[in-house]
Parts: sequence; C-alpha cells; structure tokens
Amino acid sequence: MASKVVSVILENSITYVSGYVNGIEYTFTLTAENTWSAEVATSDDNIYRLVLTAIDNNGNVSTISTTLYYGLNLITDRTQGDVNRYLYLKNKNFHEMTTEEQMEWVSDLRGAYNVTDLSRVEGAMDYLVERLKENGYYVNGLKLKRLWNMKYIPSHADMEQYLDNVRFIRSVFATMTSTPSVPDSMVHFTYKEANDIEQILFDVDYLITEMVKAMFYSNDLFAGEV
Amino acid sequence: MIDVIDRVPTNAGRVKLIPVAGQANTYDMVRADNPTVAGTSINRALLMAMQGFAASKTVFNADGSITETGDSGTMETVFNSDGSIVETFTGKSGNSIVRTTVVNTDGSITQTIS
Repeated sequence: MASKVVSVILENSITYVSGYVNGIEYTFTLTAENTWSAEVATSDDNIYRLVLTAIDNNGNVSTISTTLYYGLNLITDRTQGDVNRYLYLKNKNFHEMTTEEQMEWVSDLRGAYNVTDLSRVEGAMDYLVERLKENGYYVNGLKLKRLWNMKYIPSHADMEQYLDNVRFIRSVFATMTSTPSVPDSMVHFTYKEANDIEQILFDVDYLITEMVKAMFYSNDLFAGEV
Repeated sequence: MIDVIDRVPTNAGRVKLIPVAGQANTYDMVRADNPTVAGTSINRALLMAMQGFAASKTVFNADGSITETGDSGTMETVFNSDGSIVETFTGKSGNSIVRTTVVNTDGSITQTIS
C-alpha cells in the first residue's frame, strides 16, 4: 500500500506522540528538532486529519487535532460576495440558522480565513518547496508551522512568518508580471490579499511545470545543436 | 553524483503541434516521443551537481574504503593493495559504472571505465 510521511512540529518538551491519522492509529517518532513524523497510508485527496495525544517530560497529556494538506489546494477567486455571506451567517445565531445554513457555517466558508486556510496554504508551500528542490532551487528561511488547529490562536510572529514563507518562495523562482506581491501584513487582511497569496503559489507551480516541459534530456542533444 | 539516465524514446523526434486558440500560426509543441525511459533532465539540479553541489554523506569504512551516498546513488571507493583505486558508482536505477585508476611503473596513470 502506498504510504506518506506526515509531520507535525510540537513544543520541545514533548517526549511521546501517538494518535490517529484519517482514523488509523500510528505512533510518531522524533525525526528532527521538535518534528514528529509517522509513515501513514496515502490519502486519495491528499488531506490528513490528525488527532494526536502528546505527552511532555512532566507527564502532562494533551490532545492535538489538526488537518494537514499536501499538494496544491488553492483558492484564488474569493469575492466580496463570499465575505458578505460569511458576515451574514456570522451575525446569525447558530440555532436560528436553517439546517443548510448550519452545514454551510461548519464547512470551510470561502469568505472566512481560518485554520483550514492556514493549513491548506502551508500544505501548498510544502509541496512547492519539494518541487523547487527537485529542480535545484532551495528555499532558505522557510519555517512551516504545520500544526494549525482551532485551539491555537496565531500570534503576530506566526503571521509574519506565514507571509515571509510566501516571500521566500516567490523570491527564489521566476514569476510572471501578473503575479501579485506578497501582502505587507495580515492586519486588516482582505479577501483580495488572501487570493493574492494563493495566486503567487499557483503561478510558481505553473511556471515550474512549464519549465519542466521545456527541458531537454540526456540523449536528446548533440554538441552544436539547439 | 547524479545517476544520469538517457531518454529512450520509442518514436524519436515525434512532437504534437497544438494550435493556440486565438493566435494564428502559433502552436504549442509537445513531445510525443513515447519514451520507455524518461531520462534525466538537463537542468539546474544536474549542472549544479556537476559543479559539486549535490548532497551526500561520506563514510570512511574500517577496511579503508570510502562510501559516499547521495540522493541518486552510492559511490564506493576501494584502495587496493596493489596501489590501484576502484571507484564504483551504483545509481538508484540499478546501473553501475566503474572507474579504475592504476599508477603505472613509469609514473603514468591509467584510468579505465567499465
């Protein structure tokens, strides 16, 4: 069965991690500084839902739930209408919503920017870093959190690093004239800026693909050709 | 080191010309050579590796040999008692190539590839 290594970054006081990935139980091992990994069954949609139990060096037990996205799952076409829809539902008491509205609220609303978006975009960044590395481009300074969850409120520093990660990827490879700039800040973050972040990643992936299509291979060319 | 693999097409040189919508006399040229082996791209990764920028781990073994392991294969260097040096690169593809270095009695050096 195909497998994939999934990793999470935890506090350095953690000494043991186990739990479930997409409903299957695994034990995680410490593979790098603060990084716990497990080789798990591949998910067809490249989405891995983790429910982990972590024990620290004082014997304290904590439960961590997060969703890891791998590959490109990008949204670049949010609209003001999406934001308005989110605001409409947000201002409504959950119990006053229709069943359809309740299901819509608990799904990943395009007009909101939450833990799902942070995880999804980081998954895309992780994927791009590997694609770039395969082609000889190394992204330095990148620090992916890989543990966004509903209990954790991102700090200002977290968001600065999040934007810096996009900057590092954007700066290491070619871009198109239409590729947006990285937003200066996540303060007063707009739907257009959310689209811009993901458009940058989409453009980098697209250009990598085009570059690879144009490559020649060993045994293609003779001296003096092309 | 990089295990450089030749592209082996079943229809060498064949391409598809796909018209670009809205642009007269403009086509996307796409390979249609149906390779049995895709081959190693001639790209930054390869050319930088040729200049030494390739990740590897070098182990100095107890028997005096050296093992260098990289992403695409392993290089074993053996120093023989007759003074010859045998370097064997085995790629992840399974292909191997050997360079044998012999210092001749007249001071010349012979290197053979096998």
